[in-house]
Amino acid sequence: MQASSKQQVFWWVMMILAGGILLFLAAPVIGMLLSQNPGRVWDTAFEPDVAKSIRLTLWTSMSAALFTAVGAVPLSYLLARKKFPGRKLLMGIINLPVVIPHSAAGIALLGLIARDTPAGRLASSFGLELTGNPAAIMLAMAFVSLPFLISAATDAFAGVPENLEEAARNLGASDARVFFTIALPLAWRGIITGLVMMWARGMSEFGAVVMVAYHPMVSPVLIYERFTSFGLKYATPVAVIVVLISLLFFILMRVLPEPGKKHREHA
Amino acid sequence: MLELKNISRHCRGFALENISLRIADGECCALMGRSGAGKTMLLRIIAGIDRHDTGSVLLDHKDISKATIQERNCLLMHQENTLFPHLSVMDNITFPLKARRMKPDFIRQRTHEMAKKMGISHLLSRKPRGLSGGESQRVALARALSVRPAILMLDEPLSSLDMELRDEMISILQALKQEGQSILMVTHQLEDTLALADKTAVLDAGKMVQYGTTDELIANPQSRFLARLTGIRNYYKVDFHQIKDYPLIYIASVQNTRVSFFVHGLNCPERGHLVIRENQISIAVNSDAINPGSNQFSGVITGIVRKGETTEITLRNGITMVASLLLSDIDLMDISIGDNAVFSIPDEAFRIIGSPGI
Repeated sequence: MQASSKQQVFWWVMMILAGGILLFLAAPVIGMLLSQNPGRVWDTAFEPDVAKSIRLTLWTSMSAALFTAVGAVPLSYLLARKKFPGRKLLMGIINLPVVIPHSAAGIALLGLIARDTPAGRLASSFGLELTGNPAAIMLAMAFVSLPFLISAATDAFAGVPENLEEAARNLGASDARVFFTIALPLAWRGIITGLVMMWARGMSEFGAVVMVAYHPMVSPVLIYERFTSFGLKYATPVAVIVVLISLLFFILMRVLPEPGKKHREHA
Repeated sequence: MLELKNISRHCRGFALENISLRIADGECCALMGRSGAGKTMLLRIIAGIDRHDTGSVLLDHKDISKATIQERNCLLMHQENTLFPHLSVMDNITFPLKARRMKPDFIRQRTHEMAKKMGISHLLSRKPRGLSGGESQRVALARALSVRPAILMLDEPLSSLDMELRDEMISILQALKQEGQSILMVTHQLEDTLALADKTAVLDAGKMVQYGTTDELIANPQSRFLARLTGIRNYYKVDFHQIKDYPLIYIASVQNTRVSFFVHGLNCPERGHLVIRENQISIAVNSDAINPGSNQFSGVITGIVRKGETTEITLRNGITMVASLLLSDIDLMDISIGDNAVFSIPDEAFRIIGSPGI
C-alpha cells in the first residue's frame, strides 16, 4: 500500500514537471493566436505583400526540398549501405548546418555566391544574379534544412532489411533495380517524412535567408521587417498566419509513421 | 551439376578451408554441422553474395567464380522470410522473371504455372504480411523456381515449420528432385537429411570433416556431432595398441585422457572412433569395487534424464559415459545424482569406426 502511494507521488511529480515544459512550449504560441482578432488575421492574409511573401515562402521551400532530394536521397542510400573510412566525419559535416548559427550559415553561403566570387562571376556572365532572388532563398533554405532530409532518409534506408536487397540480387536484379524496386519503395515513408521536415524547416528559416536575400521577402523576413518598421501590432497577424501554416505541416508530419519502423518490424 | 573445388575464405577470425563437393542434376546434398561451422557462408559463396579467397565454383563444368550474383542462377532461400513485403504474391513471383527481362506472356504463363504447382493460386493478390509460415515458404519456392535455377540452396528450410507443414515441404522438395532439380540444403535435423539427401557433407569449424552418401555417413559417423545426431551417446577418438602375444586384444586409449578400454575380438586400426552402445552397459550403484583388467569404471553420477521408455544415466570418470536403462530397471535402483556407481561394459557393447584421416 505504502509502495503504491509512493509510486503515485512519483508519477504526480513527473506529470507536474512535464506539464511545466508543455506550458512553456505552448503558451507563447497559444497566447499569440488567442490575442488576435480572426477577422484582422483573415484580412492580413489577403494583403498583397503578405500573400506574395507566403506564396514565395511555400514554393521556394518546397522547391529547395524537391531539387536537393535528387542528390540527398542517393547520398542517404550510400550512407545507409556503404561502410567506408571517414563515414562518421561525413555524417558530422552533413549535420554542420544544424549546429552553426544560421546567420553564420548565411554568411558562409554568401561567401560562395556573392557577386565577387567565382560562382557569382560565372552567373553574372550569363546575366544571372545569385543573391537577392528566389534562387538564393532556395539555396539558403536547402543549406540549413538538408540535414533533416538526409538523416530521415538514411534511417529509412537503414531500416530496409539488407537481406531483402540480397535476395533481390540473388533473384537476378541489378543494383539499380534493387534500389528502385526494393529499397526506395520500402523507405519512401521515411523519405517523405524527411522531405516534409525539410520543407517545414526551410519555410521557417530567417537567419540564413536574410543574409543572401532580404528581398524578395519570405514570411519570416516580412515578420521581422514589419516588427522593426511598424511594431508588434503589425507583425503579429503575419506571425499568426505563418504559425498556422507551420502547424498544418506539423500535423502532416505526425500523421506519417516513423522512418523505417514498419519494415524493421517485418525483418 | 555444381562442383566446388578447394573453396577457402578467411573472414574476421573465421576460416572456411578447402571445401570440395559435387552435386549432380537431380541430387540433393545436405550440409550439416554445428552453428558457426560455416554452412551458411558456403551457401553465400556459391550464390555469389560473398567472395571466396581461393578455389573454384563450377556449374556444368564452367567456372563461375568470377560471375556476379545476378549471373549465377544459384538461388538461395534464406532461413528468414525474404518475400518483398510491399509486393503482392504475384509480383514476388514475377520479380526474378522481370529482372531477366522475360516477355510479358511468358511471365504470366510461368507465374500461374508455378502458383498452381505450389498450390498458391488463391494467394496471388495477397501481400506477404498475412501469409502463414507454410504459405510464405511455398511462395518463396515458387519465386525461386520460376527461373529454373541451376541449383536451389535452402538454408534450414524446415526449421521454422510445424510437423505437418514440414511433411508437406518435404513432399514438395522430393517432387522437385524427381523433376531433376539439384538442391543443396543446410539442416540440423537428421530426419530432413534422411528424407531428402542423397549425399551429406559435415562441416566443423570451417573444415569438411565428412562427405559421402548419406547412408555411408550414418553408418560411419566420423565426428561427434554426426554420431550424436544418429543417436550415439558414447563416441570417443581413440588410439589402439595391440597387447603383445594377444593378437585380438587391444587397449583403446581415449585421446587426451588417461581412460582406456580393453577391446576383445575386433580388428582395430591404429586410430579410430570407439562407440559404446549405451543400452548394453550395466550399472552397480553405491559401489566402487571394480575388477582390474575388465571394462569396469567407477565414477560419479552427473545426470539422470528420462527419454521415453528409457532413462539415461551419465557417469563422469575422466570422460563422460552414458548408459541407457529401462524404466523398470531404474525403479529397482535407488539412484540419484552425486551417487558413486560402476559402469560395466561387455565386449559386445563396443563398435569401432575406423578413420584413417584422424
